[in-house]
Amino acid sequence: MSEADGATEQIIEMRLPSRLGYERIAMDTAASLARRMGFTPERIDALRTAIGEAVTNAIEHGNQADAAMKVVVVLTIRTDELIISVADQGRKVLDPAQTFLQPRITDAFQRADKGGWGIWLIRELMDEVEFSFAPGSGNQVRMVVHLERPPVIKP
Amino acid sequence: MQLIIPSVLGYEVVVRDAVASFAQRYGLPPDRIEDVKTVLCEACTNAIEHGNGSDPHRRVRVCCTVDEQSLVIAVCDEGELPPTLPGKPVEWCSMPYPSRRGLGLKLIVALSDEVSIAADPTFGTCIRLVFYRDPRSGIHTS
Amino acid sequence: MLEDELTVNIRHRDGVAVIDLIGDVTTFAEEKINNAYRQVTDKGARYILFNFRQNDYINSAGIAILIGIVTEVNQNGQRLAVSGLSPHFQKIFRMVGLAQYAEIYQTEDEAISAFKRLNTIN
Repeated sequence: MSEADGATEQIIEMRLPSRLGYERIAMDTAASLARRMGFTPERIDALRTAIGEAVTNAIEHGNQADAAMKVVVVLTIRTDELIISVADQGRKVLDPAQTFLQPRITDAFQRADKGGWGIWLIRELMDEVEFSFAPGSGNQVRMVVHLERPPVIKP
Repeated sequence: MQLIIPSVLGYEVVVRDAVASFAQRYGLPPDRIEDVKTVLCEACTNAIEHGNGSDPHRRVRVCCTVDEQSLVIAVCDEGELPPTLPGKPVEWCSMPYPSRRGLGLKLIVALSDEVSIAADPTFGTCIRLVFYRDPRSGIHTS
Repeated sequence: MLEDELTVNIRHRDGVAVIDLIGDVTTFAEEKINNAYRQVTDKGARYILFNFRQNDYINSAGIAILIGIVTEVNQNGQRLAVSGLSPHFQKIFRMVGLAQYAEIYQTEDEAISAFKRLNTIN
């Protein structure tokens, strides 16, 4: 799991059934990987939350909690970053406007539905976030976290 | 749940943590989860080093399924099929393994409740590991 | 697959209703948290502390539940505080704006002392 491996990037793929609870396994797997890549505990916590939200969205919204439908999580490991892609099978296509919401707690007090924080949290916590929607083939979110190494001090 | 990793040593630890999380969510007792972790590392290391010859372009597939009695894990590599094994399951001990692989297999057999190895015509070699939720519950025929 | 496990305890300490939330705060926690809040409110609680323990998973659905509680706390003229959150979830509570409506304390003792000071002033 280092540059000596000869390949510039490595890929781990997970296929999960659309049942709540499986997002925990994606979180634990990504955290295990990120720890080994050298991410700080703070970044790993942020990563856990972002992946949890992305997979929960894919399960509940994209795949409408149909356990037979799969959520595919692809973890691309590069020397200086980790890319996480979460894709569903698009039983319900996400409204692109939903991915740019800036929820406010004072508005939430007035609404019956207090939710809508998931995608906003993903955007706040990750370095790069990109949503894509393909009718019939599913929703996908691509999240990137950069690995910040301490600067090398030269003598 | 399915997990696919490159044949690079180190990734077996990520598989171990993923499946441990799965087993924990499934409610497997902690001591059984330790068995699963050890067995899985050995099985993945075998698949990476021996099955796939540490070729990072070859992949190792790990499939986990659960039912009320047991957790079933299949670890498959993309190695060449042994010519004498046309896809039928074989007894683990009859396979001609080098010594280090043999030690890993001893651990695998000692800690899992059922083990079988099959030469899968599509994937390569698959090892199927079964862990009973309650090891005292005896032999399951399913 | 098991659902997320949350254990909720209710205690009363120095005039504060302490609600221990032990485990995960996700969509599965809604009924337990709302019931605990209603129970202490029906008994006239003015000061409420959510004491988080072993919470390695609080997600956006859990945050929505807590915003629901804050909505009622504001309407009922109660005071709410939280303690025991990890630095990560303290950060998220601040990002979302929950920290403006529920004071964040590191420990239960700190929160109780703060409530006591508040009580003597009022």
